[in-house]
Amino acid sequence: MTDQPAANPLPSQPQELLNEGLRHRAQVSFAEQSATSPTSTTTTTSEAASPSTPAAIPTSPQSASPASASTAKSLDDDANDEPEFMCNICLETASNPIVTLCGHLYCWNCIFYWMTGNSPFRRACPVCKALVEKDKLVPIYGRGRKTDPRLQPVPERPRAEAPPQVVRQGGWDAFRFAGPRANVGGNGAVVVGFGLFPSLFGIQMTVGGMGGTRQAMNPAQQQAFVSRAFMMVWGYLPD
Amino acid sequence: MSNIFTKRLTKELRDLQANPPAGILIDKADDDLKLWRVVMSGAEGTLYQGEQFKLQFKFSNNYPLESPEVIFLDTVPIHPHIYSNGHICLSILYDQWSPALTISSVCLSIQSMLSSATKKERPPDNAMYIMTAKKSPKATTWAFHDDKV
Repeated sequence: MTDQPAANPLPSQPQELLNEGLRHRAQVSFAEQSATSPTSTTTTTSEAASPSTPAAIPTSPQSASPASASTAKSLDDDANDEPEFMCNICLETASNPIVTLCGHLYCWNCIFYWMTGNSPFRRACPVCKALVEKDKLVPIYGRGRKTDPRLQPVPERPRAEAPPQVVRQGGWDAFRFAGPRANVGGNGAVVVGFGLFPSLFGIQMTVGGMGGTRQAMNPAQQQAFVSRAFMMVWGYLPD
Repeated sequence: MSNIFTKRLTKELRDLQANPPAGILIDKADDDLKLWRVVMSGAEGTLYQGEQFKLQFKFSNNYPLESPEVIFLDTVPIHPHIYSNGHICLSILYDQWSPALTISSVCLSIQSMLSSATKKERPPDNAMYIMTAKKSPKATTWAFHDDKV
C-alpha cells in the first residue's frame, strides 16, 4: 500500500502507472495471503518455476508415447461403441441437446417426455435426482444451430382436465358467497361482506396466496387491502 | 415413443450380449423385445453362491420412461425383500425408477440386494401379501423402509 499512482501530480504515462499500481496491489494482496496461509507460498514458488516447464514438456510425450497411444486407442474404441454425447434416456447421440443445471445431457424430446409425467418423481434429473425445471434447461447450439429446441416443442400431449375441487365449507366459499349477496342484498349485505373479510385474510396469510411467499402482510398492507376491498364492495352496491 | 423403446432395447440387448456383467445372462428376448428372461447367478461368497434364478422383465411401450415389470420366475430366492410369488420390493423398480437406469443396472441392483442379505428368510408379511397381491408387482403400493439389505 506504499504506492500512490492516483496522487501523482504529473503522471507521464497514466495507464502504465495505473497498471503498475494494480500489479503492485495484486502483489501486496498476494503477500498478505501468503502471510496468512502457508499453502499460497508454495504457489509462488511454482509460479517462479513455471518458465522452466515448457522445456520439460517436449520430452514427456516421447517418454510416455506408447502408453498414451494405447489409451488413445482404447478411448477410440469406446467412442466407436458409444457416442460421446449420449442422451441419458434414449442412449443415442442427443438430438436437440439440452443440458440440465446439474450437467446431464438429454435430447429435448426425451427430457420433455420425462418431465411431463404425472409423478412428482419425474421432476428429478434421471441421473442425479436434482430438481429439473424447463426454464432452467440449457440448450446446446452447435455451429449454425440457432433455434432453442424448447421453442419448437414436441407436440404437447393432451392433458387431462382437472375435475372441479370438492367444495369445502367456510373460508373461500363463504367469501364467494359475499359477492352475489352484496349485489342483491343492498346495504345489509355490506355488513355481511365485512364480517367475512377477516377470514379472507386468514387464508391469505396461512395458505400463502400472496405470490407464493408465505409471509403475513404487515398492518399497512392489510389496511390498504381492506380499503381496496371496501371500495370494490361499495362499487357493487346499487345507488 | 415406441421408436425410443425399440432403439433403446435393441441397444441394451446388443450391449448385454456383447459384454454381460458377471453372473448375468440373457436367456431369451422376444422378437418384439417386450418380454425378456434373464438368468442370474448368486455372487461368490454370498448366501446365494451356486444358485441360479430366472428373472422376467416385461416392458411397456413407455419404457424407458416407465419402469419394467421385474419378477422372479420358478425358483424364487429366499430373501427378506422378495415375496414367494416372485415380487421384489426394490424402490428403483417402482417410484424411484429413472430412465437413466438400464436392464443391466437393474440386474446388478437385484444381485447386490441378494448379496447383502445376512439371513435367508421371507418378508414377515409374505403370507398376507401373496394372498392379496395382483399379478403385476407394479399394481402394489410399496413402502420402502429398510436400507440395510
